[in-house]
Amino acid sequence: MRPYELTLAEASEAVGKGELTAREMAESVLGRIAVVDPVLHPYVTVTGERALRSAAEADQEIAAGRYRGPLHGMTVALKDLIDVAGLPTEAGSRVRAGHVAAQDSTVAARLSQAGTVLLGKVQTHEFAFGVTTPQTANAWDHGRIAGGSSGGSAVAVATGAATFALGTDTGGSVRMPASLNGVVGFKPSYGLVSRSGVVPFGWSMDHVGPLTRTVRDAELVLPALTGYDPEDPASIRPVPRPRPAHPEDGLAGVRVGVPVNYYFERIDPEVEAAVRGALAQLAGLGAELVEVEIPMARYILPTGWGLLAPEAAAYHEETLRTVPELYGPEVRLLLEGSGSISAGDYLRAQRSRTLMRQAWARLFDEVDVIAAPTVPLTALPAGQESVRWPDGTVESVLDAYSRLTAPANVTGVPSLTLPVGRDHAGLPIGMQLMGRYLDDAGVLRVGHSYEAAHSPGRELAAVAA
Amino acid sequence: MRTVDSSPGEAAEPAPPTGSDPQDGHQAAVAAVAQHINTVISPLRELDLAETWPDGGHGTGRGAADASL
Repeated sequence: MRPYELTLAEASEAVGKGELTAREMAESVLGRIAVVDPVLHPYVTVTGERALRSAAEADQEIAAGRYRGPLHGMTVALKDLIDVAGLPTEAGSRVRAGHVAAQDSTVAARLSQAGTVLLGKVQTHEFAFGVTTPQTANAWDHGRIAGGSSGGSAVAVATGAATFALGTDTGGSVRMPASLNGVVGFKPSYGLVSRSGVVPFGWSMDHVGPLTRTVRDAELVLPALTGYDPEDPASIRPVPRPRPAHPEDGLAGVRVGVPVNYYFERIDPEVEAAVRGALAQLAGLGAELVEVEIPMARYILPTGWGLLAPEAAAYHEETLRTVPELYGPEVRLLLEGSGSISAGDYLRAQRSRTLMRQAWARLFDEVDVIAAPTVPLTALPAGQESVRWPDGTVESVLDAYSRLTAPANVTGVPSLTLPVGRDHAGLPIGMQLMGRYLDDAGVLRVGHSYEAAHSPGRELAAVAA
Repeated sequence: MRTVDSSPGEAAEPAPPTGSDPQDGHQAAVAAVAQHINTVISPLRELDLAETWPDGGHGTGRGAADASL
């Protein structure tokens, strides 16, 4: 097996044991980027020389007995909203052309402290306001969308062009492309991972999270990202609890909520079949399946849009006035239209979120996690603008893909997507696991248990040179 | 992909149809987006919020600081 084919856990173990050097790992992944990027275009910027220097430094430190932990010498790609000192952060937009970050974002600094090897920056839908990332092609079908807005992150991980990546998630932008490309994506609890030095989209729903090949890999990345950061006003002070039972121990005693409304409405039958199959597999591992009703379902999208639209419009107010022509046509329209939301509606959305958070907290008194489809359909052909459902409903692609991921952004609860199957065309299908606020480990534990038993998420997408 | 020192490039926006006023067309498109978003959020105006307080946006009221890692 070539180094770029290793999962993070596998590569980390090999480097830790001295069976593989960080330099060999970096050279292998850079070689893979040279094959993947001309075809699928996940990267904006590749920092090859820097990566090789970092890898050599990691090897020296490890040889000298200064092993920093499981991320030491591991290659990572960062979404191009995340600042790295001295590198461009252009957010997929001409508005930011030429912008060079003066200092590291908190997450970039933390990954650097953990000894990671930065490969470069990966594509985002312009300012994260979209679900297609048109610069990049899907890892499994080059004529289909990568998903977004962290499309570059997902495709890089799905093809072995990064061992792991970071993305951002305001309405589903980590989980959605992860699902569409057959990888794992994790949106942590709101406030657990700092957004300082990350281009905002909607301040009160923005999250940073990892995209990885496996749930186990996500478990390795998350502790390196967390910790109180006074530069992010939402940052919380996490107090680690003892880890729960080992995933291979099964899921006896774990209550898995199965929604009877909202999440299984207007979804592709193949997606529903795959997720219900995975639910049966969770039951086979000892979990108790409990039907639950999603509270305030009618108000989820109104609340999400009522928060996001004015926050995004406020962030872009000055540049929309001074350089509107530099925005892409789609995002410019969305931002200008978003400026129409009244202060009264914004406050209604905030008050609605208060009620919704309380209702979801009560829901997690009944169950430990909620399992549902991540997105209602697999990757659409590039260029398709809307989806028509059998009941006659027509949804924009943006609304369709964010409908099932947005609740975790509104409520701030942790949410994981992991691959659970494929449709008739071989396109990946993801299942979403959500847990109570700040029980990130509990969510990952359930996902890890499923993965340990069924392990469908390890295969890399083939890309011909 | 580019190396770290190269400059970015993006396709130019498509030209508007000949004979139309691009500004009128743009304003109509913005109005359509605004109408869509306002339609989506309109159920909030029917929600009984009683004495519910706004959550103050980010950074407040997000629950106990006790993460399970």
